[in-house]
Amino acid sequence: MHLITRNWIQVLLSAGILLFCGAGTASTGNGIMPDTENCLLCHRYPAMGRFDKTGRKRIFYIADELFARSVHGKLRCKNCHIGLDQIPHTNVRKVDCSTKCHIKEPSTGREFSHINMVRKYEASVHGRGAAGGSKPFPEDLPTCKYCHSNRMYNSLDGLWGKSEALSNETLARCVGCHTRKEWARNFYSHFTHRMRRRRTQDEVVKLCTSCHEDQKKMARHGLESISTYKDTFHWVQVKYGVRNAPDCLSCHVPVGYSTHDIRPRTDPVSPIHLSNRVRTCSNQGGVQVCHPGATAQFASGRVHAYGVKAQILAGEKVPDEQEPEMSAVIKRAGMDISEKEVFHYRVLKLLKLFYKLLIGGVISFMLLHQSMHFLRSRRKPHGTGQAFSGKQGGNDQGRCG
Amino acid sequence: MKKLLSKLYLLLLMAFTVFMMVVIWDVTLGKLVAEFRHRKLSQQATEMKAGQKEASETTTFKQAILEGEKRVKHYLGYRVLEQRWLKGHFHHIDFDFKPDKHNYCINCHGDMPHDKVKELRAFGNMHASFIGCQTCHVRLEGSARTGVFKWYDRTTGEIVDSPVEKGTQAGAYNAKIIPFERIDGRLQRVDTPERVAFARDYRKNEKTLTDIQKSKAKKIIHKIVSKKPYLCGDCHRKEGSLLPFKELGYPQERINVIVSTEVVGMIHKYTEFYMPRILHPGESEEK
Repeated sequence: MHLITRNWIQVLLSAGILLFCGAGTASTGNGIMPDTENCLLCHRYPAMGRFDKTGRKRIFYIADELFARSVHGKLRCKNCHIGLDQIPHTNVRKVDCSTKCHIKEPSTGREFSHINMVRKYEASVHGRGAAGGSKPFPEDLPTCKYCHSNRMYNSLDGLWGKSEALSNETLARCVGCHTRKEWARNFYSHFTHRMRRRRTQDEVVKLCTSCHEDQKKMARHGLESISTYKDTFHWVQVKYGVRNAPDCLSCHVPVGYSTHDIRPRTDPVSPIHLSNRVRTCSNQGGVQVCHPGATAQFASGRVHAYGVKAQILAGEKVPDEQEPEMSAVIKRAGMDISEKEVFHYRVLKLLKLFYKLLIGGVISFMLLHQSMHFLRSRRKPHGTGQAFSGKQGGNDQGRCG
Repeated sequence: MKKLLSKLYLLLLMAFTVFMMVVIWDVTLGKLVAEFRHRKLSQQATEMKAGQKEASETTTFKQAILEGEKRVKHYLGYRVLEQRWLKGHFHHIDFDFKPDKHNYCINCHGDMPHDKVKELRAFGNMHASFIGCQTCHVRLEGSARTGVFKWYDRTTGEIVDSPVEKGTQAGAYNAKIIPFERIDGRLQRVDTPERVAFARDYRKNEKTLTDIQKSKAKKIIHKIVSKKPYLCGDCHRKEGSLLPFKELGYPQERINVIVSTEVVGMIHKYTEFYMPRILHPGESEEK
């Protein structure tokens, strides 16, 4: 009896929550969107846009429902797009993620801004350099928007599998004290969406390689294109969708590091600096354990296969060697790669060739052998073939009988 | 039954063998062949780059034009959103601009044709998705002027009922407004089959025409286009609007918005401050 009452309470509770969630979803249409300036009067038209001077298509349309569900859904347009006060919007400043957006950050009570991340990022290998530092070809460096779009909050079902039940159960506890349901739902969505990876391993590799695969762009900065990663077993795992397979971030941004703070491997802070590598390979703060028994020697090995730099040092022909961009790579080759590594490269190359030929040869021979065997067995029966024909004869007899 | 099963088994085994063959070929000898080919190709590319400029030009064209045709998928947490990839676009759009297959203007001018007047171009393009070019750019005079406007389907080009209903997203219709003219007492669409055919023929033969022939053809195509197009205030007004909103099927609520003080007032402000530019589109861009 007791059990039945409890079940009923649960049913009623979840029905109530579902109702409230339904109301929440319905109100995301225009309800939550703080369009007090009536921006949508014009910006709800999908074809509002133009081509700019560089030929880039600009669309000024805002899908209000998607915006309301996004992580920035609580903001007003003019919080980020500063200078909108005038129509036509001729004085709008470029969106700067480090500006304060008039939302109170709850831990300090101060106005929120992404300034901390921006500062970290500018000092990182991808940034334009801290305070006044300048890098060659700054146009190659990714901006915030290169990796981030206005992400949506996850729905309640995603975090715990396919059902919304657990999320609703958790939310029901929040609402007990934090009575403004919309606020509680937003808060819950905010921290749960931070608990999951946004991109799959494959998507991470795609995002990084969208720049790092561009040989010319990389060469301008003395780097090799990332095709060497695709020679690794790490990539093979990612390619075939192995769960928890190591993508770029697994080693370059291991547990405890920030994607905004990627450093070059020569920086002692970097997780792939020689002094930090054992930890990166073996045990990332107890959260991710890939090679638990990794020794210093194991970790000092080269993860990405030897690429263009080793090829150049080994005196081999490199396809794009004549390109002016390649001069930086050639210059850095001697600095980055030792003679020992060039020797390794040569051995590895021979080994690769040997195995490819060996495996290919064995398999081809096997196929040849099998097909010849097949042809032979189809010939008129004699010798061992008799048993087969006898069986057939038996069958015929059976059928006749 | 047993025979069938064994046959099936054999077939499956054969299929599996072929599959394995492909896989093994791919990772062994196939890879060597691919590497060899790739090396050859990149060598060729280097030679081409050295010899001709054309090759690099095609890549630029590809990068600039075809890149815009890429599509991206975003996982939104509650559904997957697929949309056209727009470089550097932060907000999700979730809207596909289906090309207007019937309109012959956009063959040359594109589906976002307005780009001259800074203050008007985005507004112009926003309207161009549901208003045919001729509605504003053809001023019918005298007996040709009928005041009749209808909707035509973007894909088939046929006259259809009004797509504007209560609750539909503004501007996202699969139809466009086209004016009707009266020639010899007969009511007909401004985009007559003859005009459409002429423009199509021009496009088809463009490469073979001389410059003089080209400008002659363009003159004929643009003959109906008036120098001064209808402007915002011609429709966005409480009385005497160019477009008969009621007959075009607009619900009263929408008409109220279209001619609301908010919109009309904004336009008034525009014309007050930017009058010279609006009357002479494109001339004073530099000022």
